[in-house]
Amino acid sequence: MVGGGLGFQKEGTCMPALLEDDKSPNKWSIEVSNISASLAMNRVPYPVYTDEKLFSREMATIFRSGWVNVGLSSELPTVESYRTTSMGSDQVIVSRHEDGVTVCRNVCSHKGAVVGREERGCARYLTCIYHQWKFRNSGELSAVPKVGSMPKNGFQKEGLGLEAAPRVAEHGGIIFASWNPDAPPIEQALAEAADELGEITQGEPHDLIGRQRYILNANWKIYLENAKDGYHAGLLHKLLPALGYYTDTRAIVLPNGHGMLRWPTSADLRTKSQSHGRGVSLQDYSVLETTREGWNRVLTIFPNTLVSHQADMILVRQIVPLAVNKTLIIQNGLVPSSSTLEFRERSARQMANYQGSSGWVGHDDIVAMNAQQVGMESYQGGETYVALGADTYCRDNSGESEALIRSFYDHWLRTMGE
Amino acid sequence: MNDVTSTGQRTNNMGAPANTTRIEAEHRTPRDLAAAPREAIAWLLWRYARSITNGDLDGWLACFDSDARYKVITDDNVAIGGLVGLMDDRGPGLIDRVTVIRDYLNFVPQRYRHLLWTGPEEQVGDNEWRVDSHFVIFRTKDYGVTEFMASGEYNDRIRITPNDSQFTERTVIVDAGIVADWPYPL
Repeated sequence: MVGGGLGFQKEGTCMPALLEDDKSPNKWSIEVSNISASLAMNRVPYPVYTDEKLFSREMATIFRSGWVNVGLSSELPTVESYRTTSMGSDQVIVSRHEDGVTVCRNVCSHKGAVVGREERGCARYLTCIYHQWKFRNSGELSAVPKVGSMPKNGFQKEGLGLEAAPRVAEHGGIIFASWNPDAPPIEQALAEAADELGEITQGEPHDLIGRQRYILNANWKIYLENAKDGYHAGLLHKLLPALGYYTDTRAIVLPNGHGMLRWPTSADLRTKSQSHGRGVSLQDYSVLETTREGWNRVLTIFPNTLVSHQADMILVRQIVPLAVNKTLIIQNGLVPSSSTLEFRERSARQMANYQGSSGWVGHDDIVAMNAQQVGMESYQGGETYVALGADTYCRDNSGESEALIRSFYDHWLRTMGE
Repeated sequence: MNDVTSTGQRTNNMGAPANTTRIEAEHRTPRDLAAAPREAIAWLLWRYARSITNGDLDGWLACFDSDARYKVITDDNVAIGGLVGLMDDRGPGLIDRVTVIRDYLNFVPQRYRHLLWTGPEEQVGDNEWRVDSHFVIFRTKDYGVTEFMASGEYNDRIRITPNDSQFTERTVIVDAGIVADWPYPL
């Protein structure tokens, strides 16, 4: 625990020491050790979102020491199917073969070109275009042109394969990988988040029904924070309280930096909006309604996974940091494999119109997060203030608490300090 | 509906400056649309683009039949048979899109401009036609830089009557698989 642990200290001021970056005199860097004092005051210094050195350190620690989401099991439907993506700053190929799933570095061991140049495909072998070095999709070097002219001593195909991540696991339909051979088992890393994931998937196989990809001009943690922030939901997204949609929400702190927002599902939103809403009426409530009884959930899994189960849509988002202020969001839509075509189309429509980049909620999130990054980059000495609900902090908080953000940074700081 | 901003400038529903009057004067409604389908289609495509540029959301809505389907989807989803689009409205859902853009979404003033290349029309029913167009859209945000926004293809089904032409279906296939925040219809 850092700075008072999950309880955080009450309001105060304590600006972290800023260090002038030797190479960029107009930029400021910040030592990780100085951030804890700010976090103890329920504040996060802006350089946490804007400093390139800190970003590099995140890529070298968080995205190499722990488990990272590299895609969905349903994205690799058959043996030999593969996709290319990133684990932090590392380009990787994720492929399915007879023995399971492999994640290996997408960098040719000859001269460093990416081997898999397409975003997805199906092939037993991948060949680097430059000098035609040929690799199995699981990473082993298979063939090299002019191999007879290679040194008789020293050239060994076994040592020239694509480096494979030592740990790969599929859980709840998500593929996780880690460069750390000593990473704990995935079930242990997910902890209670695994139970929540199980509640969402119900152990059923799921089909991928489509996806959205969009660029966020903001730091990757801003995206995670937004999904942990129940405070904004009824304020930025003005339509939701107007319809009485987002009510009785809880913010539940989970171990290891995970967290969840949860609120009851809405079966008859038309009636609910008349009794709890603000006089707003829609023509078509099917964008938000479900006959499913239970909970809507927004589950964030440290560091780069967001699983959203709202109405009839299950969205799994892979958060891919591209730069300190640029993040790729890959948003996949899933339905139980037993779903009818009508249900699939309804779910797809909800995903587009509600959660998508042009959706009634998704669009405003992007606009707000982009604005946040612009502001932070203009004021390197500033700090956020995320103290909402700090006096009543517990595991199960009011939805309008910033508890999940604070617990996220507790874990973030521990991981960064390792 | 136009509004007046705090600076006194008249804007349209999308927050862009209103120039509807000038453009209204430029367009001509064909007298008998059913007798001139090519002209009726061109008139609808022009009305559609013009309404978006002007932020005339009611005008945009009037381009669609009451049971119409409007869907924006990226080409990579089409390629894998994906159902998930960027916008997906059916019938009354089109009205909701107008309501949400007009009253609830947050965005700075912005204007879209469409360039269109329309292919030959094909009659698929008594008064229904199918036509595809290629498009390029530029966007100017907050009176700042004009930027390329999207390219792609419209796949349209259009009903033509003597007095009107409307989409019964408009599918917008966007070339890019990675998109940005687009509040308005494309």
